[in-house]
Amino acid sequence: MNCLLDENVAHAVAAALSEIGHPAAHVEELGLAGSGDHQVLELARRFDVLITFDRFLEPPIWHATRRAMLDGLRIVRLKVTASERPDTDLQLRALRRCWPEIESRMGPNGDARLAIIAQQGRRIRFRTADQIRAMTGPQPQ
Amino acid sequence: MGDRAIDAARAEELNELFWEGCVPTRLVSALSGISRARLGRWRRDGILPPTYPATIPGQSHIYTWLECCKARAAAKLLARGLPLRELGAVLARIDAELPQWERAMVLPIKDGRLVPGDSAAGSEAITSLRMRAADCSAGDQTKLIADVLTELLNEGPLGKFSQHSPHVTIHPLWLANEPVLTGTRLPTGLFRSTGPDGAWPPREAANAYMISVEQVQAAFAFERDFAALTSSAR
Repeated sequence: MNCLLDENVAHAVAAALSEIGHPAAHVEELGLAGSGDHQVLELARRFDVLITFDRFLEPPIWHATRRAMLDGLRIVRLKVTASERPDTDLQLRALRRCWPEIESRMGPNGDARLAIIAQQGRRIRFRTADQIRAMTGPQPQ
Repeated sequence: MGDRAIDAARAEELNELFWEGCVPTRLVSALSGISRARLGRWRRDGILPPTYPATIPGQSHIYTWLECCKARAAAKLLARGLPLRELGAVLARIDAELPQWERAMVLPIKDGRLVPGDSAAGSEAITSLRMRAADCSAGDQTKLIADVLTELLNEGPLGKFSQHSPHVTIHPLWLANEPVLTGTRLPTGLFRSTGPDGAWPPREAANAYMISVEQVQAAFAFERDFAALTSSAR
């Protein structure tokens, strides 16, 4: 899988993914450090999966993200609690624990468009396109 | 060519969508200085309802960036003696006379990046309002609005936290208004555990993201002040 790492993911994750056969580019090395959300989402469409700490699930981003995911974008979101330190080790540990599942659910034959990794990789939830289509998300009043 | 036109149109459409922003009650309260209890009353009374009210218990109400700017303006208008009953009308007048005024309240964008340093120099519309207010025949309300908007522009996007500029900023197009280190997509919240009692040495955090230790310390200082304010203010 061709991965795009958001700027808020540690650089070392790119090398770790490349080592296991998944080419990974970091937003910063593509010259898009400091770019806005819409630019990163647009760039991510050229990759198989976007790995990010970004929320991307809040309104109004939700509407844009949902549409992009229904168009084929796949997002892996790393989630940390306020008490966790989101250092390189945590990110690598979480991704290593979940990678086999991510590969199977988000690879070429996979059905998932969104993966949310929590508890340092001990918990992962997937959402398929159908589930995302059914999710109305936060609605404006 | 056709595809490019479609891409450009879609990018523009997305851009507009993102400008709406996403500010939870806690952040609106912190930036404006209005207590969460008061924001709750204003929500119930229809003075300043959030576009995305909470749908389940425990969820935060979500305000747009415009609504957050209105809250900041409201705090200043009331502090200058505007009666609460006139607040809605004055905010509506600002909206009518200065469309998209909230976009002047954030750092300007150049080549797709935020330009640190100067906070917004002020949109043409606000400059024109200030000139009108300088006219002796201008009404008191015009002058009041011009003064308040000028103060907001001078404060910059962080409002009550302007002392953390230029290291930290918020912008609707950057992580949907989550506070970030200026010039990056790194939320300050990533660096919560880098303080003196934290488990993550600042140097290590800086290396992980290829930023300076000073940036890590600035992010931590913002988080510390934000947590202190929001835990004491209800």
